[in-house]
Amino acid sequence: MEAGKNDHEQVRKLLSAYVDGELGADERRTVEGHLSACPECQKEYEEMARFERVMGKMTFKSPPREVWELYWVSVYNRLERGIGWILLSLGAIILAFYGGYKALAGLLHDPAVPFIIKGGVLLALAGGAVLLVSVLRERLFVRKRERYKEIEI
Amino acid sequence: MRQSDLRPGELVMGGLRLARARKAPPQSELEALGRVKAGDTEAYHFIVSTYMKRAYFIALGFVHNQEDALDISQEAFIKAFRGLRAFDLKRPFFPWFYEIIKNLSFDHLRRRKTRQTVPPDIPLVLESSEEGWETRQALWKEINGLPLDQREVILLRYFQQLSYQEIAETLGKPLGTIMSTLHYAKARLRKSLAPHFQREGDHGSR
Repeated sequence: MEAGKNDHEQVRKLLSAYVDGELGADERRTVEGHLSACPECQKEYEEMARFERVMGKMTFKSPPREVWELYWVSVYNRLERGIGWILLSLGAIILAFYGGYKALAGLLHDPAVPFIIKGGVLLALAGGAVLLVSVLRERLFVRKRERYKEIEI
Repeated sequence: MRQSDLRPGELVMGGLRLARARKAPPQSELEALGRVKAGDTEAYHFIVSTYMKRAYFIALGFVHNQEDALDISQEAFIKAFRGLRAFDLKRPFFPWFYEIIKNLSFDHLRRRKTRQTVPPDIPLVLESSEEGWETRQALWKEINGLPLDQREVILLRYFQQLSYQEIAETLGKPLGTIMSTLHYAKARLRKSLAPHFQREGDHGSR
């Protein structure tokens, strides 16, 4: 009786893995031997098997076939765009620093230009740079979003 | 020129199609990863083709929105590509990649929460050849009500069809932990879905 009870408890723990086909031969034999003798476990097993059947039929909705066909091209483009963005930024930073340095040096060293003009030019340059970067980033963002319109056919 | 006219590895610049010199495609995941690490971007095609569906459906399981799942899965491939240089090829790729998808998905969910956008219509994501809309809705609600560790094993088991061993490797947990987590998750789902199964049982068990 005691052995039967232990068996019962052990089988209850193994049933889930048994239904999933994840047990080794020995454990499988233990479960099968017990199931034929225990109506309670047999009922539990049938309910589990039913749950497995229901879950086995559940799938996530698949996107249109074109999504998979274009997937690699899409990833590849994003990779390249990332590299392009880094190169563009690096080049732009170098040029901006050099040009800015030259222009500012000329302006600041010119004694004919009043101080207020020098200050105004500095502020305008800074504002222009911020706006340029902001617009560029926004355009890149919009292009990134637009790619999905092509995918949804 | 439309994107669909392009073959992978081809690049369009100013209307010109530039074909790349073609190397033999990689024969295994390890070879592909090694070649990517050595700077061969084309070899990444092998990895992307192998895991794109899995990546998409993992993200979908977390974010419940098809467009976001597509975006996150592709972003995960970009992130993995950049991280590969420092990646140890002795480690399995998928568990590391799974972690990237999961992190991106949860970042996305946090952003969505702060922006307070309308959550997507959840049952539209699930399909079943047998169960009705009501059961699918109830099931999806229950799955998403599970604690994260249980939800992950359910998603990997039933929507990725992974074995216990594969789930254990993916999540970096012992096999015994996966077995018991799955056992409790299934018991909870079965309990809460019993009324639905009984109601729809007649046509569901054919």
